[in-house]
Amino acid sequence: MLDIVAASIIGGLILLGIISFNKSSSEKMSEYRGEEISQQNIVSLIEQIEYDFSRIGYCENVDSILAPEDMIISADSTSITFWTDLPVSATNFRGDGTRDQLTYELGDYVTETPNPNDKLLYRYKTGTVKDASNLGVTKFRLHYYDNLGNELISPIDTKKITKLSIDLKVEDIYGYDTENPNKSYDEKYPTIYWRQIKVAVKNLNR
Amino acid sequence: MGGKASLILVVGFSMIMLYFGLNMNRLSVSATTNSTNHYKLGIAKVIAKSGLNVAASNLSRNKNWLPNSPYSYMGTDNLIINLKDSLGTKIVTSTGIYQDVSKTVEIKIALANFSEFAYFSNIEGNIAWTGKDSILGPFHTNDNILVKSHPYFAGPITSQGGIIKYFANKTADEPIIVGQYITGIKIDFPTDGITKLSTVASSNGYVFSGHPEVFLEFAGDSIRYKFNSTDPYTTVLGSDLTSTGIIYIDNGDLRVKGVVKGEWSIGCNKSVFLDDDIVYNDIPNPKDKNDPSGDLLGILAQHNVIVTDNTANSSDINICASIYCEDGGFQADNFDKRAVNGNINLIGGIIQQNRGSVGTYDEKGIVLTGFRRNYKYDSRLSKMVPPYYPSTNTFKIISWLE
Repeated sequence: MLDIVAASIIGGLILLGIISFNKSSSEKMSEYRGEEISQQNIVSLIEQIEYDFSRIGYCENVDSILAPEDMIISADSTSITFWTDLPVSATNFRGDGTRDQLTYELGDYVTETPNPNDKLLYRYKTGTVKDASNLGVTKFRLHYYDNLGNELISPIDTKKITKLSIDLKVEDIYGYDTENPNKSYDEKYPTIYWRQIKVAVKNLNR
Repeated sequence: MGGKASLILVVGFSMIMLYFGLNMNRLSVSATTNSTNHYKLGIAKVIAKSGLNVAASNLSRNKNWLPNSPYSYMGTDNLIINLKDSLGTKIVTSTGIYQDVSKTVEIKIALANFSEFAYFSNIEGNIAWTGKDSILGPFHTNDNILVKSHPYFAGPITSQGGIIKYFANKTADEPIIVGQYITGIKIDFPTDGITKLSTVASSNGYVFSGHPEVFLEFAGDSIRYKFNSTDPYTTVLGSDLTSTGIIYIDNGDLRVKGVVKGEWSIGCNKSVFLDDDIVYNDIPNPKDKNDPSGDLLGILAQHNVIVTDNTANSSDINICASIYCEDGGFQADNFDKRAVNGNINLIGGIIQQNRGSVGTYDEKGIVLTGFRRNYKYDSRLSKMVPPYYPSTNTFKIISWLE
């Protein structure tokens, strides 16, 4: 009898341990997985943004290159449209010699994900379908500077832009235990990557 | 029985822990790899850009420099520079390799010509740019820039002097600058530009010699000339005079006016006087560098290019040309004595040794004598050069590709 009671107690403790371990490891796994995805997302975004923004004003056909003051078409704190020449293919970084209009634009909140702050970041060529992937962007803020390093204020005079910086924040869009009212926002979405990218566009400074 | 159960329990737990451990480890490795690859790409980009600097530095010393790749920079044989010549444009391609990641950056550069400037001066003197002035194109001076009441500069601005001198103070005078502004740059002003024009004209142009003054009037396809103001004009077809578009007056002044058709460079080893409007037959949109107008004029003087004080110029003068004054400047005759004569409407550029005066102005920039400046840069000059025009011997970046 004593054996059965002792075994039940030990078994119960082990079971509780397993349940607790499972809960804690699932939470950590989810957190790490979210961290990995967010990190990959922000690295991809940074590389794409640096790549595109470094090509502002570039055109393979030099006769089609605009004056620096005409290279950026419109700009505000959450969107920018500029002239560039998109690469011919993934393996050929040169353009086809025809100017393209490229837009970066922060969209509305995404309602389909648990994270209440994520928004779509659109990147599209004028004349094509406006499309985006949800990479967990919760902040995309553009700052513009003139040749003397002064930050330009809204409405932005695109002719004066010579440098840009971008504040970018990416969060885990799914989080963990997001329905739990006892958890704070930071506990539900512990993964936040933030980066400020500074871009000195060479073609604007010719 | 109890021993077996314990063993199964320990092994079971170990397997579960191992599974979680491996997963955690994989996530960690993946995150680190991701971060490392981004870092490696950044380093490869820095190496590639260094290659461009190597090329630019060597080309600035020797226009015929050729790379000797591969170079070693933050590694071994990991920087490859290629240089191609294509119709006067040099294409420098630099590839940086860091471990297993490579990045290529490419620039196109070309020799800059003085005609590309909207404004160039070796010496500014003590003449201020005022709120009534605007320069819409490349600007350079080997001197300081004196500013008053917020003049407007749109285009790359470079200067050697570096310091913007304020007439009163920064608040009252700070210029509005659109585009690049770089100080500490010296562009040597040539002393043999007119001599070279003379040489080119002698072999491939037309030279007037033995006349202290030559009066030249462009009349579309024709050119009229005479050697005395009271003489009748002799009219010839421009292409019969010279097929290269280069006319040089040896040891005499040039007095010019008319409507220019085609591409011409006219000059002398004395001064050029603008006796009346000198404009293009097809006047281009100054902002459109691809404007189809085929008319282009370079006016080159050893000394000064002078707006004559005469009846024809008493109410505005219209000028379409890139003006070059080797040891003088662009100025108005009797600028401080003549009446208020309206605007100098210039489409082109001014390149001069000393900044000349075209009028006098009050504190508010209102014209007291002479002309108000209304200068517009002919954007076509960023890629078109009059038949002969001195070169700066420096390279300019046409495009940058990453």
